[in-house]
Amino acid sequence: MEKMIPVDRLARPEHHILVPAANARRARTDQGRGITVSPFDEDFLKGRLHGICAGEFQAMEAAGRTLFDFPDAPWEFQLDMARQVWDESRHAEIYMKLLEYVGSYLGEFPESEVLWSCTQADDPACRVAGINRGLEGLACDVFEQIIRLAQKMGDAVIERAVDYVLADEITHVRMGSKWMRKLTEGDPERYAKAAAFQESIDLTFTFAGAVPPVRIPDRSLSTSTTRTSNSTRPSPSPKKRACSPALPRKRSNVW
Amino acid sequence: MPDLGHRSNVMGPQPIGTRTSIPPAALNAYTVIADLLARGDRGALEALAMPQAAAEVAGLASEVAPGLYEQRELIGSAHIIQHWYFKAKISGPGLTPLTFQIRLGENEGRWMIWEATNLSGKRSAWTK
Repeated sequence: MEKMIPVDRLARPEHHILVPAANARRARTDQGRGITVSPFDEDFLKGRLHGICAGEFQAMEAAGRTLFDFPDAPWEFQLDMARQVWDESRHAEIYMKLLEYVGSYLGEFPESEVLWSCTQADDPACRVAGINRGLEGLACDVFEQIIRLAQKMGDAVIERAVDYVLADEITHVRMGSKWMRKLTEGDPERYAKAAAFQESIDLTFTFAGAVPPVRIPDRSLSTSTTRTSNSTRPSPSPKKRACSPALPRKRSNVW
Repeated sequence: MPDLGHRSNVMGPQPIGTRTSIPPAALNAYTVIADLLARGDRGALEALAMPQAAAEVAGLASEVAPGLYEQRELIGSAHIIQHWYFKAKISGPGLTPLTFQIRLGENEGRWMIWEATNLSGKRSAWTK
């Protein structure tokens, strides 16, 4: 089997509309909108959940490919990647159900290749830096936003479903930090390469800094505090990072 | 995914939103455009293209064998806000089917082509 496959080798139903991310952005600007999904869009919630659902699929595929692409990586690393495939597949199912809940379905909106582009690194340390610390960290931010939105809507279904997924994503970021550190132990050059790869992904998703980085309490639980955090940098006397307390969230009693 | 039966007959959360349908005018525009493409009516097609998509539409039109296609099949659709993507295939006896994807959007009351991609021979629009 071929390693480092290009995005168009991902299997998708024939009826799904796939577009390059640049074209999707142009479709928005052609309609006088900004380049990212906006809360002012008529179908913001559907579009946001759809984007995440597609992202969960690509994350599942990415973790699976990482497992396959690096057969010489430590056994525990492979086990973590396998675990992540399992988690992401569950997330994909959860989001498909949420799409149905809000009156949408997988395929209502085009899917772009932008997440897969973050997997194109030939070093497992770069992979986990980009996917787990970069993308999964960004996902934590987005999930937190949706949870708060659901709270304002008084919708316990969305709030709790996304919260369950968020709990897993935090572990994925932590896993990324752990493996980025372990795989680059004693090799500062490799570490720098992985950090640069994560940085490039952060820049891609913040549109070269046009979208400011965020500090979301839940994300700090993963020890990756900001998009540009270097908290995994090896230190002669590593100190345990303190987790910032999460802001209290008002829980709905309705299920 | 397991079938949970009719949603109205089971316990649990019911959908809070309704599905968005393709606007009939957009669907009609797709039909007209697919037929024009099958006929190879390049002039009429280019008249329906936004300036930014003129070259893409011309390129797509140049790939058809005019008047030989007998079947049109809508494969899929999706939307970004008010713009609709249509993925379709036209085919005819002895011809290699032409698969294409277009983005349609309203401009001054007319549904126009904003983007056109020839997908024939490609796995998808993601293929570089």
